[in-house]
Amino acid sequence: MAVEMSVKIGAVRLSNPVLLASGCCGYGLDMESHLDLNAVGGVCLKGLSMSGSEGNPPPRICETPAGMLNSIGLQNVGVPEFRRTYAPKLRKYRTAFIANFYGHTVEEYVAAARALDEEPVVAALEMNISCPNIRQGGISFGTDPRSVHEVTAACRRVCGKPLWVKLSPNVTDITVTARAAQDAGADALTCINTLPGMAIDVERRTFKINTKTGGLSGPALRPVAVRMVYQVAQAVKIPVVGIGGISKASDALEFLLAGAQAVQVGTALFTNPQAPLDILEGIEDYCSRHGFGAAGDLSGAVEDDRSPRRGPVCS
Amino acid sequence: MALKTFQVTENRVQGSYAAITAEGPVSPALPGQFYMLRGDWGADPLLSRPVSILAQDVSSRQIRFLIKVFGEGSRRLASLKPGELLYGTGPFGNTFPVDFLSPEDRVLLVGGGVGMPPIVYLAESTKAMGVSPVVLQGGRTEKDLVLLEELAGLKIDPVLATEDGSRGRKGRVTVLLEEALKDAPRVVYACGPEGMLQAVADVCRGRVACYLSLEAYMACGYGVCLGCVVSVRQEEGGRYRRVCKEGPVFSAEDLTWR
Repeated sequence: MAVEMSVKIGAVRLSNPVLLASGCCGYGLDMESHLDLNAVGGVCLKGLSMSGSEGNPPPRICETPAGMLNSIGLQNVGVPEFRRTYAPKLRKYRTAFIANFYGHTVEEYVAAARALDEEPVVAALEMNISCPNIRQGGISFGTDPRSVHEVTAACRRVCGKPLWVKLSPNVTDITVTARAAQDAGADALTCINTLPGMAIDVERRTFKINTKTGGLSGPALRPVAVRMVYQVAQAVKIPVVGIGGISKASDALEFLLAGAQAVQVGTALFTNPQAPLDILEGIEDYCSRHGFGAAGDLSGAVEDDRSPRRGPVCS
Repeated sequence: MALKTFQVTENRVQGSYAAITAEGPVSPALPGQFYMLRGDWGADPLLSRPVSILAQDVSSRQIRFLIKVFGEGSRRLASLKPGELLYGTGPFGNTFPVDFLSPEDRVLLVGGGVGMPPIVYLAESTKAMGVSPVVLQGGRTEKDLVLLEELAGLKIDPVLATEDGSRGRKGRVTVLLEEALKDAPRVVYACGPEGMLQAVADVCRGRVACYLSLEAYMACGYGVCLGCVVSVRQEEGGRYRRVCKEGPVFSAEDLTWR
């Protein structure tokens, strides 16, 4: 029997549960010649702000054990330029485009949310709350539950489309910020953003990336991300989109079984732009082998029972 | 594009360099273009390594790369044995502009170390256009002079310089470049370590057109990670350009480096 691969994230119907992560696929156009965008459930676009950003000086990236650090500095063309130049070229696709956005003040977030909400090509918005709040001494919005609530509520008010909030892992208890976002009207939660890290070149006695610290991504992050997806899925009623070091089907399945309704593939795209296709095939195959009629049924299907067994659920 | 699989057919090691020949789905490519390469080693090292094409032949499905050992990823690539598999995405990047060249033009190719493969590939391609280039190669010691057999195979006798004087002229390659500029070349193309390229750009500034192929740390090679940027002079479009996409070849005049 064919497996139903489509999933619903709130009001958004995705053709399958595998999305491209923001910051790892540009505005979609740089992916076009490497991957059929219609083959994935959604494309989370590079984070946009109203005024855009040139990004940080190089070196911006370095490799770490089973991972990498990046400090791109949210380089982006700005919402107006995105709408003028890039969005029209995305209209030919059926896939769901999720517009990731950020600001440095609540007002900047609201302005970006409002403008992206008006863009026809955008199916949903994904709010990056891991940015420094310049009115609060540069403390990240995403680490303070009150700031999370405030910025989510403010964007919710101006936004007719589904609003996803991408949570920061840089917190003591992620369920607190998850609930704050839910209470403020978020439609879904993306778990998790990169984890702040640092690497030092000992021979040259310098930091490996220009800004000293950068966001850790890749398989090294995965166990942390799976744990947080599980905790968040237990704590909230809204859908969870899992992300963190997914490069193969079994990785994606961990997130789905932990409670995610969909997953995002990021760093793995760098080495293999078609990794999402292998992951999708693997998920479908897993569903068939384990008797799941729909990919959506995988969500939260992990069990505490560790007794040896378990054959296929169906007989 | 899917990950391409190549099978290593030869690995010639010279000091910290390995010249690898592999067979597989070779796509048409141009000098300066590169692949992102990795072996079958899972998630650590995580990223593929950018490696320039040294030579290739689409019809016989052969491609050659020169790997220099810098760290763990390049060490593993350099130690691949015949029969082992090499995985890659590519070819990526732009190429050296050569459309304006005519057979009577004098063309200077300047390279050093792991920057030599695009220079050798470019020499092969300009010769096919009827333009015979002069190749200048610099290195710290004789051991750092590479691909001399390949150049001899193209009937090119490179002018050499080593910093310790162990072979060729004693000094940096810019000493050779200063002299070669007296012959009024039409253009200078260079590829090598950043310090060498900056020195080449300084020598050429205001005197001759100069195009540089840059090296950079990069995660993806196809423009999405934004990790490999270099700073440029143009105001329009921001101050950064991606080495993998708008490069690796840039006009020396456009670069501000940092």
